[in-house]
Amino acid sequence: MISRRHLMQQAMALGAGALASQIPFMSAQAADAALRLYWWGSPDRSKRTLDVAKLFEQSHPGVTATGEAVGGDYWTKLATMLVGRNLPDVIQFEPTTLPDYYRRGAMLPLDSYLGSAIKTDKFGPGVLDLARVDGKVAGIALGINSFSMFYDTEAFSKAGLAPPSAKTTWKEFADLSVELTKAMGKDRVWASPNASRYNYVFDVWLHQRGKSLFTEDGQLGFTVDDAKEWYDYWETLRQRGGCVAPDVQSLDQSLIDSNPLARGNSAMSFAYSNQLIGYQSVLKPKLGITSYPVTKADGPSGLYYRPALIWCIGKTSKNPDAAAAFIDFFVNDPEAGKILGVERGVPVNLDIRGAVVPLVDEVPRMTIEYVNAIANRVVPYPAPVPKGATEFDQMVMRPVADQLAFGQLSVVQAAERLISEGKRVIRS
Amino acid sequence: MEARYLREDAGRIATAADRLAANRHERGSFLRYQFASYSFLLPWLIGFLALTLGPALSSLYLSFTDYDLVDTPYWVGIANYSRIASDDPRFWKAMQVTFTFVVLSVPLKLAFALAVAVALNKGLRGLTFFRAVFYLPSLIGASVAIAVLWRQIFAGDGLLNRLLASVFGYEGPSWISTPGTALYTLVLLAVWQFGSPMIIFLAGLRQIPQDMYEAASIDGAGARRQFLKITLPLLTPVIFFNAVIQTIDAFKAFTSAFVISNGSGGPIDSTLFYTLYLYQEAFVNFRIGYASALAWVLVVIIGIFTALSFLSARFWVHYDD
Repeated sequence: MISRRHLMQQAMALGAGALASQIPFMSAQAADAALRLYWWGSPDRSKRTLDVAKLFEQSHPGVTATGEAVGGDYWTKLATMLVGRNLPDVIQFEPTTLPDYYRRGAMLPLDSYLGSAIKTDKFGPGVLDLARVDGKVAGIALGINSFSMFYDTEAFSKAGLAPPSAKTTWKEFADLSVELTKAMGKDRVWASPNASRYNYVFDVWLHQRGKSLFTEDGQLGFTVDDAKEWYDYWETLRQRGGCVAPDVQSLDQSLIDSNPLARGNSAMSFAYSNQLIGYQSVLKPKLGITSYPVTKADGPSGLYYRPALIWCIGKTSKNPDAAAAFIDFFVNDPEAGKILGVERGVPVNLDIRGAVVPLVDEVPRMTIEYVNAIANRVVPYPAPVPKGATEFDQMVMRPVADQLAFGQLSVVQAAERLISEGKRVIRS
Repeated sequence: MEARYLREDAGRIATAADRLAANRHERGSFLRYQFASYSFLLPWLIGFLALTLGPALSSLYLSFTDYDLVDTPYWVGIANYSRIASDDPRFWKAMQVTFTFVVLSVPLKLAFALAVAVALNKGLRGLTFFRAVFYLPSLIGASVAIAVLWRQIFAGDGLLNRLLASVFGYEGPSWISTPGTALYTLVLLAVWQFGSPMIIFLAGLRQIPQDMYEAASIDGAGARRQFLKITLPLLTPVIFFNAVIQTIDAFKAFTSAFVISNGSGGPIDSTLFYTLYLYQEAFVNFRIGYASALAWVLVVIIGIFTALSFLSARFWVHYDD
């Protein structure tokens, strides 16, 4: 007969045994690393990222890598985690926010890992400079893209017009836009978006003139006269009917699905090359890709390679070595490269770029070919943007251009306001 | 005799002692009663102290700093407040947009709510059903989904323009992204959510004694005159209540503008509600200190408005008792 006391003893022995058997397991677990990844993007991007994380876990026993895509509150959440000293181990950045966060001490400089934990020998030239801030490598570019124009090939062939090319000048582009709009003859459909509110198009425009949006020491890199020329160009084109009406343009939040081309209000779009995949997935007509118009046929392109997205290591990471290994795996492992494709831009590892080309579909291949084709025409990557660059884009560039297009400001007033408001928000 | 006095004295003493004991007992039960009530209040009290009062006080402190969510807050005195007053064009733009919204949406909404309440009070068949139907927009109106729906209706290729094109052959602009009309679509959305003042009006109308109307109609007063001379005056306390609540609500409006303008307050800041501007400063530009100052300015503005309404009330609100 089993007494109550006996049962208790047995149970305790069992419990102690279970506990004892867990001790080695637990200590092994503690020695290993659990990486937290943090990024934003489409479900497609999340799937690719998590698939690579799974592959990484298989080749690195004891290390786990988990995470999830965060939507609209990405930066608010990141700032909160920074305050709470609870940063993720691996964090996704883009070029505008990288310098600001680095200077606030959000991420670990990667210089000591380069060449060892993070192999860089297969990287294309200048890749490390794409995420260099104040002389330190703040992150690793995951892929590169550049500025590019997309156009609806069917609209051009129906109208019997040749689409823009790398040699099209701004003047030719304006005439072409007016002609195409007339030829299409549809209500509320124009050839071109009103790019006067896109700061990145203005940046390229300025680079073609030997200037830039911001100087190296973090000031505005253009004058009232530059702004006047810029606004005059777009206002004239708008009045000639070559670019979209202001109530269409002001809806654009510089996202693919809010863009006039994606919404069916224009036949062209000023964008970044890797976005061709996103645009084509929401549009039926086949899209073509080319560079922005130039000042003269053989003039400077004003284009530069830019990091599409960047991985960084959180400063408070408890496992920086494992995080560095993850980043290395992400950019240098051939299998990972196959999974990622060109979703985060054209791979920075040239071997992987070569290996990915034959595997991808036509649309991603067009983006790779475009990035390769402009290789001889690109200018060096500009200095990190100053604090307030995002605010300049959202709270100055877009509203001033809207005020001009809605007729609330003249060209001269808009140019003056761009300078005065710009100086207010840019803090070097 | 002696004995009688003694007995009376003893009785008196006994009563006094009784009363004393009773008193002591009462105080004990009062304390116990208080303890019980406060412990029932405790969850709310903790929430109020930790989630409302605490943050409010810390935001008051932060409004005197340059806090940016990351670096240690640095005391800047009244710099934030003086910048609001003297050097911030967007603050004045936000004030203008918000006041336009309040001044348009509150009276329109109240008028609409009153009209529907009067109609429903006429002893309509299926009153409960219609009351629910008219209240529905208020339940769902504040939601993100309705704001998204609103955006679809008033967009360039939206429902409204298709209707205008097919009925009148008129090609409308995109109402939500034209500076001259964007705010009015938000006013319309607010007016559409007239349900909760309507329910309160309906309750107020029920309180008005029917014999007043009977007496008035015997004296020869028509429906219009009855409405102006009986319904409106007797309803003024309810109108006052609704006006105060709706004004405060309108000052705090956020969701619809945030969703319809994608958080930008555009086009050209034409839907830049005060709260939206505050949000942008805090969570887009990370100027928490400045945003805190903006929040306290809003508190003062709403306070002044409410005080003014209460002061004006003595001239037009008619209390029966």
